[in-house]
Amino acid sequence: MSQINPLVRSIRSSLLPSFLLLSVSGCSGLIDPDPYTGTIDPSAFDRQYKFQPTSRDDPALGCLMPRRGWDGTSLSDGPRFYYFGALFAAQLDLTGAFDTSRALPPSVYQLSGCNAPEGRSDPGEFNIRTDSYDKRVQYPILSQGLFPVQVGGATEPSAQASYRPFHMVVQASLGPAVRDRMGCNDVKRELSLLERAGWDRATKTFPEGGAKDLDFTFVSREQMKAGSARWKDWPMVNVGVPVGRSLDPVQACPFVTGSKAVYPQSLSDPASSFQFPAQAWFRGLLSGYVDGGDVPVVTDARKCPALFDTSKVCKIMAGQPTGCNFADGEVCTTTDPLKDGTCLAPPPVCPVINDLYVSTVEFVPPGGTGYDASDPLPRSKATFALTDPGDPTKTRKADALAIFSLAPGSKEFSPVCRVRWVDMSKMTACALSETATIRPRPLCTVSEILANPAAIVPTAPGKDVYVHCLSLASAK
Amino acid sequence: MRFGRGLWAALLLLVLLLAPLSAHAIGEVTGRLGGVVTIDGTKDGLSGVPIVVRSKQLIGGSRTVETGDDGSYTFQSLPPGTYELEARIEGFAPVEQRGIVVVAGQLAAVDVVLRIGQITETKQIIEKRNPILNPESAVSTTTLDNQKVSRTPVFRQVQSIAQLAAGVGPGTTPSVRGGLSRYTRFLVDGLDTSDIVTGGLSSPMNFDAVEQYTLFTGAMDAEYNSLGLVQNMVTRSGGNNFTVDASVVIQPTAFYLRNRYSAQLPQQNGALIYDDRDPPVRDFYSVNANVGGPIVKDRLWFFTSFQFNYNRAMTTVPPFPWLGITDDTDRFRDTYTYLGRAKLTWQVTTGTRLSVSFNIDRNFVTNSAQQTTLAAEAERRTGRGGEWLVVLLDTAISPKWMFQMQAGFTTKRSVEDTMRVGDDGQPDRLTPSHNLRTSDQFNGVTYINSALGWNQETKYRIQVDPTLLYSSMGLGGMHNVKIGAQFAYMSYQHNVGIAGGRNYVDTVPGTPCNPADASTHVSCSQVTEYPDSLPNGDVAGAGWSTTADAVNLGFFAQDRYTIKRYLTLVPGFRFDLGVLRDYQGNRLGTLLGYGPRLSAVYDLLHDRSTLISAHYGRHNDIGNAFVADRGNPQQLAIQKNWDPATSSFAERNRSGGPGGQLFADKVTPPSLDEVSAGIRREMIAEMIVGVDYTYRRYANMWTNTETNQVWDPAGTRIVGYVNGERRRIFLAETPEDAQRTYHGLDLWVQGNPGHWGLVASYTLAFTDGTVSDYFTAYKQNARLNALYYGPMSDNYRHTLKGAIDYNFDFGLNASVRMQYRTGAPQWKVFQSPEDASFSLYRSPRGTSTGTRVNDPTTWAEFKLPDQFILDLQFTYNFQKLIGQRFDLMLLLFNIFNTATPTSIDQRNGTTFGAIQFRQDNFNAEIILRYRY
Repeated sequence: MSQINPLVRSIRSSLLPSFLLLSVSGCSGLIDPDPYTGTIDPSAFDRQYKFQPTSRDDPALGCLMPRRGWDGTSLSDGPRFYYFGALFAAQLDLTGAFDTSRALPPSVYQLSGCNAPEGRSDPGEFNIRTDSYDKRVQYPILSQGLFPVQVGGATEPSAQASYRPFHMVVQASLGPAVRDRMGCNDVKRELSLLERAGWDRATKTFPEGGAKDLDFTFVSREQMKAGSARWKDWPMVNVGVPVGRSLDPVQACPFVTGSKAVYPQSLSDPASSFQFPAQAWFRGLLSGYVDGGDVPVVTDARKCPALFDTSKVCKIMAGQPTGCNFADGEVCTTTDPLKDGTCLAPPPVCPVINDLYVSTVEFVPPGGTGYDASDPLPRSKATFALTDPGDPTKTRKADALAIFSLAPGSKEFSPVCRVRWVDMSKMTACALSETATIRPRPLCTVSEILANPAAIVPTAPGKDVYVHCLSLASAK
Repeated sequence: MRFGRGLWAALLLLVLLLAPLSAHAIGEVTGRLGGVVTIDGTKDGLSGVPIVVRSKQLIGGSRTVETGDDGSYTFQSLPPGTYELEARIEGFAPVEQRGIVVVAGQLAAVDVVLRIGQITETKQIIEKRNPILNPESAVSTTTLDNQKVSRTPVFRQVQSIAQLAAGVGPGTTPSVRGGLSRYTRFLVDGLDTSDIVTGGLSSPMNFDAVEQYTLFTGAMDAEYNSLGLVQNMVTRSGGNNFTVDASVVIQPTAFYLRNRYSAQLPQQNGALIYDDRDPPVRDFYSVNANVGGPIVKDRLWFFTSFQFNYNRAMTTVPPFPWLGITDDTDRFRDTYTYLGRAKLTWQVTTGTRLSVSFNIDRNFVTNSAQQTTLAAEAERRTGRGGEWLVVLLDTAISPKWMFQMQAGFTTKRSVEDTMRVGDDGQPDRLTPSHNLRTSDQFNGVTYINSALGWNQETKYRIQVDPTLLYSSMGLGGMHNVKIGAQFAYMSYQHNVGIAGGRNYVDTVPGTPCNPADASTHVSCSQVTEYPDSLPNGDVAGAGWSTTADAVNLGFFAQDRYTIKRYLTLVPGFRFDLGVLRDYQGNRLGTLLGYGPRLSAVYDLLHDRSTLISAHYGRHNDIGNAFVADRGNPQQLAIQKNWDPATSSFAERNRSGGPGGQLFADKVTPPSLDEVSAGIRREMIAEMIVGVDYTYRRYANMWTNTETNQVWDPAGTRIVGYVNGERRRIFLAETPEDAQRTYHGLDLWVQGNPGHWGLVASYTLAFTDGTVSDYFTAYKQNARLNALYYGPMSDNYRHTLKGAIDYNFDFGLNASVRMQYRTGAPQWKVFQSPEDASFSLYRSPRGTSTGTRVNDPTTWAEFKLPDQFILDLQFTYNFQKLIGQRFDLMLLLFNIFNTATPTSIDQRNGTTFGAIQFRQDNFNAEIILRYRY
């Protein structure tokens, strides 16, 4: 067992970067792995990503519970999705084009081609109970500044609004010179990865001719703007949070009193009732995320539903809006010549967004009492008590209902949803209803809702609510 | 007689016969005297010269040996003390050398130069003391006599002596060269009297009853199986003159400098500075009397001693308004200690000596916990006591064969219990305890009863160590062969229980949870239930009783082989076998260890002034009663959480009880591999300077690996159980990665040149590893294992220390003791969401995550501040003034009144980094000593 104080090693490597290069060509020919220094501490995460229970008997706080939605096809077992709280408009600016003061978007290195090198012990089967990480596969490596954590005295990023869950994918593959000398998950830091490819910390450049031994497919800003970059929605959560697979908290959450949750005996154990988040490396630390999958993007700014308030005043003059940079896609919020409006600007690249319809009975609409903009579909309410309007003594619990315009799993589905509140009392002709001993609430399809626009609760211009709506299928 | 094939064959046979045996640490209580007789002007040895060594008091007369072919001679097995030596042969002027000091376990090298002349000439008398370098041993040894330690400010504690030696850490059970504190062995007259569970000293001992301290810190020969310090204390035996040695120690509160820190934590000197209240009470008084003398002159001596200590310390406990206590309360801890000792020494013949000693101690403490988080009734009381009997036989079978036997019996009993008294006037074992746990975990208070319950222990050990010594010429050199067997049987019995069988966690001040009282349910949060301690009506539960037994057997053989006078090789080998049994009598395991040793010492300049040495050795820890006890399950504890829905407690998980503790089927015993090399030189007369390098690797140390719980990937929550049962199941095992590595360089000086007395050293040390002690948290949460490797908390990178004294001609001795150590590594610990305990680590051992916990580049080494302390002692002997050996001693501790933190809060939270303990304030002690 080779054991060197990881911190000491870390300090050594920071002080003497050239040692790293020397170690690459060490006597054994093997490349020293980065030290394992533990896991990300989620204690400073925004609360919606902690999933740290204050009470182990509260399933919604104790673990990440799936929600059941409805895609308009089947009532008995609608699609399931994880809800990760609100996405603020600024977060939908994938490339940072709107706020140019922001750094480049976070990226994730997907490294391929690692082999357990000869001369190093066989990594063996991954023991999910005793091993800290799997040595047979390489986890993604996250670049800086993407965690919902408070870093030092600065609040970068401490608030959900500044947390950017969308990651730009950088493909990296090991060249033949290192493929057999480096084990899977030996690399645990972005800087370590770059330095293994010859990155000079001092000059911040690769040697002439580019990276050595590692092939990177970096994405340029132009490619980002052109929409050719690949994006993923990866809400970062506590690496230790159980991610339930069942709607029943007793079956899916190990912290519930009387829990019957079945612990996974291996990765992706189909018999288990919960899993852990997918794992990645960040600054040498193990981190957890829930894979929301690829985020489809549009490059036509006019199709972007996310419009940002530029604070520029616009007016309607001679029937035409003025004051905005219409060439860049800005629009004016007013159509009334007597009232001023503000210019809303779209980013050139933005995620494709689905609509998610929820009942005003079950979720407080924006502006209502108790509405929480950071948690518009409260996570603590995985179920609701329904009361029979005809007999108030009769109640039952029901899953929170969400109706997708596109179901998770369908081709165009995006993990980003815009929430639409629907006043179900104004829906009088829905074709479907839930069967239960008490009179059910009406269920409506998207088309039925759209056919009755008066039932949709309007939101203020530019105040649309966007949320994560990750499909369960991808949350392995 | 040559050391022929026959003897080798016999040795080999003995080895094979005893092959499955092993050994423990015994101690040498005798030394050797030897050297070479040469003719003046030549370097040739003179054979056949009768050499006589004399001391009526120590050996009842004289012994004689003849020099061998190369002129060398050796006296084996001499009790430590001062001897005279005489060489007288026809054709040469006789020579007598006086003042030869023999030290236990060492060779006093005395070379004799004969001048051609008449045997009738007046003999030449040499008063010079013998050189203090031991030319035949690579063992790292520091020897201190009663005079030296009496002049050194060490609080007159025998367990404080070891700190003076190079490579030894601070504390009364110190870590030595990367080893664990529990490896420390205290031997009395060669017999191991260490606690069989905790290691270290089993009971206090009269300071003035010890004649000589020998501290072995490394490179030990095969006769020792020790992974740490061996402190051998050769006790006084009386003599042909009646002696009285009595002393009084006075240290009242007034002798302490006003406490500049919180009076709330007087002994710890807590966190608050400039507290204007009166200093807390701290009184210490001790009386000590030793009487020795002859029963039959030159044959039978006695030595007895008695000591009584009284110690009072005060804690100021803050108010508990919800308990009706609105003011600070002074709480006193009173400690009473009684020590008694008697020793008989019988010099049967000049070659046979038998001694029997008996020791007894008693110790009682009230309010022993002294924690401000305890209500008065939840405080603790302690009673301890023990006895030991040691028998020593030392006999010369022939001039070449000697036999030694050390045998003994030690026992120790202790009871810890609550201060709360029941209706019968005895400690209350019926009423459950309560912990108040508010949102601020640091302000929890235990009240109504002690949450620790009771703990009764009985420990005893029987030990027999026969040793055979043989010396002869052969194979071109001198052989001093030692073979021996060492047997020890240890038994540990203990009974533990929790008062009332339950410990509640309350959340509302002043509202103790009682499930039968609905009005208290608002306060109910958690209860830990101990079924074995649940009362039956008015009868307290019996608690949980276990026994653990261990047998240690050992055999060793070693040869101190001196070739051509200048080179000594000490090959050796030992087998050690440990058999451990649990409370049901089941054999837990058999541990077998092989311990090869090889030392070499070379007299570089052929004048015994400069020695270089090298050593390799392996020591094996074959287990004691402490390890055997780990095979016993702990008391069954069932943790229950309050369920408001049902207004009752629901089981959350359980630990202990049958099936809760497993013991590995096959165990590789913990071992120490040591490689060392050094050079030492007598720079000036009676002063040695040395440099030693030591590498040590401790492997396969004991862990208590948890095997059933499944933690989440962050190690913060238990998410499942391997067997589906909500309980902890531990496995006692010795995995390979439970280890420590030590590199150390010692520069040291010791001796008594002129008026000076010196013991000083500088040590550069690196100790890294995964295990801070046996069966600690390593491997109890698999997710955190990788973080456990790092600098250990006993890794003091630089240590500079010394005890230096100077004798003035007018009777004054001035002594200074200095200690400087770089700060000990710390480790920031976080609160585990699982059970609210501080057991979660986020960064490797020895580091702190700082505020940017998720950015390892900002993590930093985390250490205590460097420690420096200077003590003085002045001893004035009134003999020149009044003709009586009356000493007045003034001890001044921490003369600069430094208040360096010695412990800080390592817990993440608002108190992280807060000072918990500081160096003790400046204080003084007066000792009056009279010797007759």
